[in-house]
Amino acid sequence: MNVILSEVVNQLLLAVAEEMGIALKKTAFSPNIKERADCSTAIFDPRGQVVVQAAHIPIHLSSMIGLVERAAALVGRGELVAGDMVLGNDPFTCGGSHLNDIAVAMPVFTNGELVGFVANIAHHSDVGGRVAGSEVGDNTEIFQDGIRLPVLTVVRSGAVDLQVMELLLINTRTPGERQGDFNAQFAANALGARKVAELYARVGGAAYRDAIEALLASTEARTRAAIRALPRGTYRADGLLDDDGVHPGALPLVVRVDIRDGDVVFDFSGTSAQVATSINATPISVMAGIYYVMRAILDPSLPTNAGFYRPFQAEIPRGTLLNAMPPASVAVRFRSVQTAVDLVCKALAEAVPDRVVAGSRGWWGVIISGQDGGAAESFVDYEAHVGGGGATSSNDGWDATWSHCSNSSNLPIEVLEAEYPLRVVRYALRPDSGGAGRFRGGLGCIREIEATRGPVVFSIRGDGYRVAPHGLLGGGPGATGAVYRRTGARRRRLPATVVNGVLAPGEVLEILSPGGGGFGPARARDPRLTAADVAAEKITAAYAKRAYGAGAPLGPVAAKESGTYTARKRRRSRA
Amino acid sequence: MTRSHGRLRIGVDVGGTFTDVSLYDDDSGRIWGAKVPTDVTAQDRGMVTGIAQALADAAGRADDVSFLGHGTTVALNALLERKGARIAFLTTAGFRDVLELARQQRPELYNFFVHRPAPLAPREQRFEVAERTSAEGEILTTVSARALATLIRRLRCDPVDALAIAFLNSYRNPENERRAKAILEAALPGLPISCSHEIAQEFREFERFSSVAMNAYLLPKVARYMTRLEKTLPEHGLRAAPLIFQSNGAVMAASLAAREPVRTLMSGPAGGVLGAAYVSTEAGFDDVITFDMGGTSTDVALIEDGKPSVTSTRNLDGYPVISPSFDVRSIGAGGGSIAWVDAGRFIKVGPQSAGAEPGPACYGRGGEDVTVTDADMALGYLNPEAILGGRMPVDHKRSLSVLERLAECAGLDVWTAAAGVVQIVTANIARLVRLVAFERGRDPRDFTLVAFGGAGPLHAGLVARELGIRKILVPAHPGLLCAVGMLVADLRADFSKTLVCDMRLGDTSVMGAVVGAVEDLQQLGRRAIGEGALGAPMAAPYTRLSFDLRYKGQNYEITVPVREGRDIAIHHEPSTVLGEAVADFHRLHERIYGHASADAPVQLVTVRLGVGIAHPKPHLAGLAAASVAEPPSVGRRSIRLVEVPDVSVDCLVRARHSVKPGETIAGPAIIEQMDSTSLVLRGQVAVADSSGNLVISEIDS
Repeated sequence: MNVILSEVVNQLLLAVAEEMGIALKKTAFSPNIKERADCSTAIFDPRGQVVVQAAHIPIHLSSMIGLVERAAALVGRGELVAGDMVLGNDPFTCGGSHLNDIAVAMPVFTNGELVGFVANIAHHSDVGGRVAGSEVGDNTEIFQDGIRLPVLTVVRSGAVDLQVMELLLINTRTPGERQGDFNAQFAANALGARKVAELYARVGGAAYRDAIEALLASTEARTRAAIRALPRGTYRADGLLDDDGVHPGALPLVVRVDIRDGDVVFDFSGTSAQVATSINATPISVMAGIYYVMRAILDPSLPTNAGFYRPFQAEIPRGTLLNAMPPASVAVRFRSVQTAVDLVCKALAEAVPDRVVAGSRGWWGVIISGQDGGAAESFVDYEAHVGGGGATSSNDGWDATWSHCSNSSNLPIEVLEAEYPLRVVRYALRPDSGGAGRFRGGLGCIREIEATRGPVVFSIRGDGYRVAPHGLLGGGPGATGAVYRRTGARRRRLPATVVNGVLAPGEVLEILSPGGGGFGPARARDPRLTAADVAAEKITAAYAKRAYGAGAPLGPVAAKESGTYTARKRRRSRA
Repeated sequence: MTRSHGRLRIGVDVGGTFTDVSLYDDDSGRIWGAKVPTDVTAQDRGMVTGIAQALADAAGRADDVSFLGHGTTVALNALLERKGARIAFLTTAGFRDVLELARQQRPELYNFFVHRPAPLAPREQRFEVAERTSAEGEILTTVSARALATLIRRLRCDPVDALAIAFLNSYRNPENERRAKAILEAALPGLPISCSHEIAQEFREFERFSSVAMNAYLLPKVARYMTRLEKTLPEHGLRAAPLIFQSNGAVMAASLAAREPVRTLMSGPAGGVLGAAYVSTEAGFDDVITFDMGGTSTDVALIEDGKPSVTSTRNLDGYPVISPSFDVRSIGAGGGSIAWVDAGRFIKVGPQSAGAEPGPACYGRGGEDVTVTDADMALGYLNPEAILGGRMPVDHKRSLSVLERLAECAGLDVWTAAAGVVQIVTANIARLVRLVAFERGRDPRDFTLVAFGGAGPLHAGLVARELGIRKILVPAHPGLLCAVGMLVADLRADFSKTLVCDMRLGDTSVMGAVVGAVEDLQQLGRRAIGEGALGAPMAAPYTRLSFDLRYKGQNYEITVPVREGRDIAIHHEPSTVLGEAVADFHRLHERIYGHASADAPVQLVTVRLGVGIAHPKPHLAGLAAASVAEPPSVGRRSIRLVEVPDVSVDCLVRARHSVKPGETIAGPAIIEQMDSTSLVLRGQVAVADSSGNLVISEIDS
């Protein structure tokens, strides 16, 4: 095997996947894809194995695999030929993750020979369903999530099938934007297919195939070597999801991580049964979470391809939250997957405390929609406000930053105000919200949004509003999140899930995202860090006293110079 | 300060290690270069030494110098070393954390341990005031002296070096920012204050806030440097006012640099790009890709029709900065990049670098890692005894011995491993070049590769082949290109204003709004010239107007320049000029993204106006004539080609100065010169042109 050629082909294929990603982001119409980069691209071999991936969003990591496998079968039967593309989003028939994420795959041929596949996936901000934005917490069946797309040939010999397109577009509230996004997805694949075919022709068929095989084998060897460096054993963690999004009652999630000789088995037995709301997940989404967290724990520089995937297996009992059976709704599957990832970190804290983070699962998703003035098409403002990241063995958690399965950007306030009949009243860090610890959890944030020109409809859902993100090794939990509606001077707390609430002009929606979990005991925190947090008003003096036993500092300077030190010394000398 | 009318022009580029000076004589058309060590504590000292050396070589006098372009890294160094000012940051009530919340993204997807950089104004130095402007530009709450009283008291007790003011929606109406600045200037005399609308009247608050915080952070240090420069230079007889090189490839007066130092942050790589654009246009190549490969990294930029690609926002060390700059992309792939074997037995190259110390193993300074330079050495491409024109002895056996270890780990023979290192670094660079071209919707094969930097001319042949590029231009003095850039730069300042509006060409109120924005920017330009921001103008100013357009609903804009000679027409026939811009937008969209929607509504997002003063460009005709007197040198060496590393091949070795204009050299051949080594591959041919450039082409089969 030629390792040099293999690495060269790897670099060149990565360049193609990146170019596909640029094409997709630049040509898409929706802010969700362009501004927030909620999309990913990948290149596959003829058997449907992932060779390279330019993933912007970790939860997309495995979502294209199912569709490409189905596409490979269609090619085998002669039903999919050069210039054709298929799309799909259905979790129960073609490996989708939730209906908003629509994948488009295309076989690549040269001289009649199947060379591989190119594919991309993008989050469409509305795919029909009960509620604008489609992703709502209280759906009871997938039929309410939006339009289900099994494997569907949408491009034939380079031409878009207009009937299929029409079917897609009449099933969304934002057909213009959807059409622009679909065209971007088609263009990205067409570009990728052309480039892969060029590369294949240049390198030569046999050499190309050998290079890919060597690449996957090498990645697999690296991954297994990294696993062997972990202490073998079985590690277990359990945790709770706040509720199913509608009905009170926390739901148990359990994971057992079995680190063996060069492979890892995840067993989710004991996890809650599937629920009659939309937080169910299918195994493909859970695997995406596992691939993400294991790459972060083992070695962030590992390539994400089929060779990396091989050493990981999961046992997920059917009919549970993480392996839901149809017709379960999976619109907000993100909640369960994010919690599962958090728990893998919690389980492995015992084995590799220096490589994991404390609880980081807090976030709020907000969808505000309506008609602005006489506009023909309704607007959909789709935002996620993230909580604090968990602390690590060496650092405080990230303040109000995405952890784990997402990394999408916020929408700039000035863009939001220019495009929608809304005004942001406040966007700030939320003091005292990070879990106490030797290193504290990251702070959550506060976002206050006012309706300006007329009533708007809003839906919210999130996580970490009842069950706080956990601390690790003695660290405290982060603060739970909350949402309020303000009318003049009145401030009312809203339930964690609201579907189609109405915000009247002048009313304010106040969102408080959860904090991250702390790491290590609070008494071990360097008092200078506590003093600096007080000075920066990231924690209040009262909280500092409560959580860290620090003496109430007199002011920023005094705190740094004397207050906390003195208090600590006094306590130590007493002990 | 008046500008003298002497015959000499000087460009000075102060880099991290060396200060490069280029000196051009208008009368003879000849150019001289000087290289002196950079004085990191006082950049002007190295600058003066270098200028004196160049003047001595050229037998010129300081008062013959009529133009002095200067690229400085004072601002960039202050940022990279976090040695900027202690600043305060004032913003709209409710939003002091915008700087810290950023875009709520983590910097690395798979790394729990990497944080975003801390805001340049810590939380306790960020203040809020009651004020508000709507997205439509309506002032909802006027900022008042009363509301600012607490801040004023605080800053009197606990002074800062500089203050940044950044209010929401100030891009639409900067009135409240102006008012707050006036109140604070009156109350706190001597405190430098930067407003976000002065840096850019563009929307997206985090990026604009970050830019103005950066400006305030850099301001005191850069202002002090400019003051010192204006004092030091006349002391050495240099009466030409220094003009400071900006990230956008133009120069400005020291007074503007002192006020808006963010304009200089990316000026380092811009110098090379401008120099390359100039040299290649002179040589008859308008569409080129610059390939600047140094010790630790490779910089790549696209030049179309003689004009380098420009970007409006850059990310510097994790901080976004809105400031028009050449779109130069970097990758950690240079001569010093380290090759290693991963756990899957794959050879990887970079991004770690052996740097200048200890450097490649062959330097014999204790480097134990295989670098790209060691692989080049092992394959015979570099002089095995000494490099840098004989100034630096090297030991090629060390390269071989470290490569043997690498080869063993990878299970390869030493020649295959050396060739592999070179092939992999080639693939890494090709990936970047492809992206740079692709983002502009271009195919690299339609370009000429301009190779410079210490390692560029050696690797250009392989990179070009990987990309299907058929021609390479190696400038006569690859090491002087940055300083040449400073020498040929125009005086210009760029301004911008966001104005999100639908392009309804028949709607007079929309047309009026656009014309109003253009006039606002022209006003800024006139004021800048009046304040001497472009020095004492020798010629009438020119304007360069462009519009950022997009399809309604999109969030990426394309900058569409107004057609040649149509800048003035915007005032009396705006709908015609904007109609042309919209038509050009559809065409550009088609070219860059492969599709256009002629019927879709188009939105104007930002108006951009450059106000500049052109000056006559030098002609480099005399360059080659300056060097032909030196004796030719010819030798032979056995080398190994990357495609068949197991056999050695006899190869011609020439000294660059011995290659006469019009002479043709068939590959494989090596052409050595002081600051670089060029490799002509088998199947390629090099021809020297009349200006001393080497043009390497593929021989058609």
